[in-house]
Amino acid sequence: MPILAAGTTASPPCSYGDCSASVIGGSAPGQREATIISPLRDYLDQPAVFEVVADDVAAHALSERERRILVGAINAHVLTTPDRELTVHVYEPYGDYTPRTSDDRTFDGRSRLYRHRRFTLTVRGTVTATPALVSDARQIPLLASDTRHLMLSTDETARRKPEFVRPGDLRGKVLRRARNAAPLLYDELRDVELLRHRWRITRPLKRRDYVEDFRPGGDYEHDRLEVAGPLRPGAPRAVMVGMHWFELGGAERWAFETVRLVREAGFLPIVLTNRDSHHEWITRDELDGCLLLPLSEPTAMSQTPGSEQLMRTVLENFDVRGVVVHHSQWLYDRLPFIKASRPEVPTVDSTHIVEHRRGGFPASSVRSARYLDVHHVISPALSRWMTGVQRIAPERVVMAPLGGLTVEDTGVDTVRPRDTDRPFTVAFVGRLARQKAPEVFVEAAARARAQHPDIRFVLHGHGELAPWVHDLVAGAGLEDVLERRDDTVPVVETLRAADLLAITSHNEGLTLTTLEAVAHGIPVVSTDVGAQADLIPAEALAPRNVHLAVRRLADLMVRYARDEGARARLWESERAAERRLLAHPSANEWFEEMVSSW
Amino acid sequence: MVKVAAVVVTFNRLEKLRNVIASLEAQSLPPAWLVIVDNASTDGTDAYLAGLQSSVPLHVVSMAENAGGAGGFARGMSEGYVLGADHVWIMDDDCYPEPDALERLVAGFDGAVTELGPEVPFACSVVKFTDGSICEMNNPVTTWDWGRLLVKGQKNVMVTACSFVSVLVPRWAIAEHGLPYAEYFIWFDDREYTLRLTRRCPGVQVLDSEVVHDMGDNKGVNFSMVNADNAWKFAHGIRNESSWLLHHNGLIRWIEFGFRLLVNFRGGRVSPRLQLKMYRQYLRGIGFNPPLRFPEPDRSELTAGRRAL
Repeated sequence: MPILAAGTTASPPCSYGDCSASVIGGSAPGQREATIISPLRDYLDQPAVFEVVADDVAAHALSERERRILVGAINAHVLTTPDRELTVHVYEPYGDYTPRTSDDRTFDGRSRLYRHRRFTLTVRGTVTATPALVSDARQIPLLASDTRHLMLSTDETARRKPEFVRPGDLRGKVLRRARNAAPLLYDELRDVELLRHRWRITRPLKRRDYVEDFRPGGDYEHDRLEVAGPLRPGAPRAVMVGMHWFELGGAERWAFETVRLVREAGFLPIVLTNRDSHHEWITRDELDGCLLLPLSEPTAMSQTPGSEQLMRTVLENFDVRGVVVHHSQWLYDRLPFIKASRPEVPTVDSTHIVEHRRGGFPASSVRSARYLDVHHVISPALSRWMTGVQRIAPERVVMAPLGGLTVEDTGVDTVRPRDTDRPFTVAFVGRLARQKAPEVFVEAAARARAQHPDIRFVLHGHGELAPWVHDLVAGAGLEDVLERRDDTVPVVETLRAADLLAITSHNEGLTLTTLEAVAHGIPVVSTDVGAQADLIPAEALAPRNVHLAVRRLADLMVRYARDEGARARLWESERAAERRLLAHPSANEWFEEMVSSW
Repeated sequence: MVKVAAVVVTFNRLEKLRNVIASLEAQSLPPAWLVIVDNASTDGTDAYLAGLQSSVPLHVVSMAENAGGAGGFARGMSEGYVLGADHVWIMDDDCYPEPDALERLVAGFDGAVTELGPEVPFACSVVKFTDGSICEMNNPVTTWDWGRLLVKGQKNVMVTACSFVSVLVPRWAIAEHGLPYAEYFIWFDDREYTLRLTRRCPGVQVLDSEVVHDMGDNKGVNFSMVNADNAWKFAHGIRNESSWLLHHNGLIRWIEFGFRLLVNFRGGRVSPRLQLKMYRQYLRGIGFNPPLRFPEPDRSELTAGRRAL
């Protein structure tokens, strides 16, 4: 029973948004009353597009994180090959590997990661779809198979978030050693290497023409564009949201917020990610009741260009009223298919930061411009890049800052006075990842400490570089004056314990942490990256070059430790800039209004 | 519930194959799958398998050409792995397991794991000839402390090598140690593979798991027995062992093997012509060193372009 006939009752009943078999009215302006016939079922308390034919008690002992990944993975497989009974083997986690949910090896099982079978389920899809084309013989064994192979990771690994080291990766090993031995020199060399990429982002990028891809000489010349079939009558209203992963960063906090707003607007959020991850934040409340699709890549063999098995089934079984892309290349790549199949569906993306190497997601946004109705950006600097450098029509670019997302109205209207009972404290808040350059903070701290012995530091964050940062702190002899805090401590507590926030990133959009710090009366010094200059005055900015940044940031730390008046003036200047920025409608307000029109 | 894929490699022995299948269907612990690798048989095996109805879910792998026992086992084990089996249970097409052979093999394996740890890489059965005597050719090689599990009350003997006649291999061992070298074609593939598997931990022979090996003559083999009829098999065996010794054990062991051949050939009065032929195979081992393969796509498959339908 893949889908219920109109008027029958879903079994077991589903309680996700408007997806239950019920009559609703006025779901969209001008739409007549419709019977919603949902393909959604419930498995492990998660929305599922399948029914379980043969269950296993072991599945019911999984943690919430594992359950959501498992059900999401099966959802992805059912959507890719609907109308099937699938045998799903779930294997024990192996090492620090991220979950395997939808990549090509999950179809054929040819992976050495699958060492110990944990349990097996049999499921039957509740969705149907028009046949998708298969154009490559290598696809056949994958798509014809009725067996799937999934692997989860442990909650402990997800918490630890280890730096993933691929066995036998000699190049990576050499580079890590070089980084460990001379972190700043390593950064300099990377910058030199980046020079050959940077020119690209200063010129208009070529827009993708999907139809051209299928013509002779195109990337998909052997494939054919075969758009999705008609929508099933009574399909539930949904909005598709693409995310990078279910981990926590500034971009993800905004993405989670959009999911919440989509749900509040009465749509079923279909949330997909395509970046390998342990997805420790897949348990967040915003994702309750969402149809989750945590994909693992590559999916090249299971998704035919122009025919798109998974997306085709989504479009035929869910009344997709909008598509929102947050840093998901997989979804960017499917926008042309979505637009070709459902031209009326609005498509929006949200970008934060122009990466030095090939531009990152703003570049993807530009390349997909033909298939995007609105480009949302979070800073005036990125808005200028979109319209000025990339010549996107200004009316299609929405600049709406993320203020209000995490920045509570603290009511603070002056710089927070120093607590004279403790030494002057400089904080770093951010993921311990390369982009955030914790090594620059540690080096600057050591240098500042040499000039002014009465400074202490808080390094707040967790991430794959945590062990390395630990060694750096020890190597710099800062263990007594630098306190490490991880995600178990709220950021607000660190801000309350700090007198100055230092942003040391190699690259940024416009950091939420800056807004948060200013809201708490804490001034910010930063490297001059991304849109930081929109908030921070020139006298508190440091060059991006790491050696110069260390010197400048150390000098700034010492200066503001010694001169309380200067610290107050810096905060006032930043507060004024923040107010100017937040005078624009916030991203929340803009998105809420837009979704309500879908 | 443990899921076992029984893997049978067959070549032109249809009548015996029928018995093997019947023995597998009669197991007290039924296999989850029956994987039959047809090594391009020409005696009607393909037609028989095409029409076969079995109580055990059947997966027939039809090889384009005869890949030998080694190629067949490598392919069949890979097939069992991707079906999701916890263990593959490999055997020839003239091996008839007793009805409780698999049940006892699995129990014996689990018992050994309890005592020796999770790295026990295989369990094999006792192989009997059709007259009830021990099968001369299929006796495993024991460890120096072979009785360690016996004194613990188990019916397991610790072994380092065995032949591919009723061997239970856990899937982790395939993922960790790879598949048998398909290029060996025939002979020494089983010995090399089981020695590879037991580098860290011995396997076990489960004494109450029995199979009958319906081979023609119940004779062991050694290099003094080379004659014109069996030379082709010895040729493969010598090339394979020479390759393994040189590339995986070192020059001294390889030279020692050359002397051992000489002693055996003289003892068995093997004709000089055949000796010369065998020594050519011995030397072929120098340039013959097949790559280790796992149940995963090789790089060329992943980087190859589109393959037309």
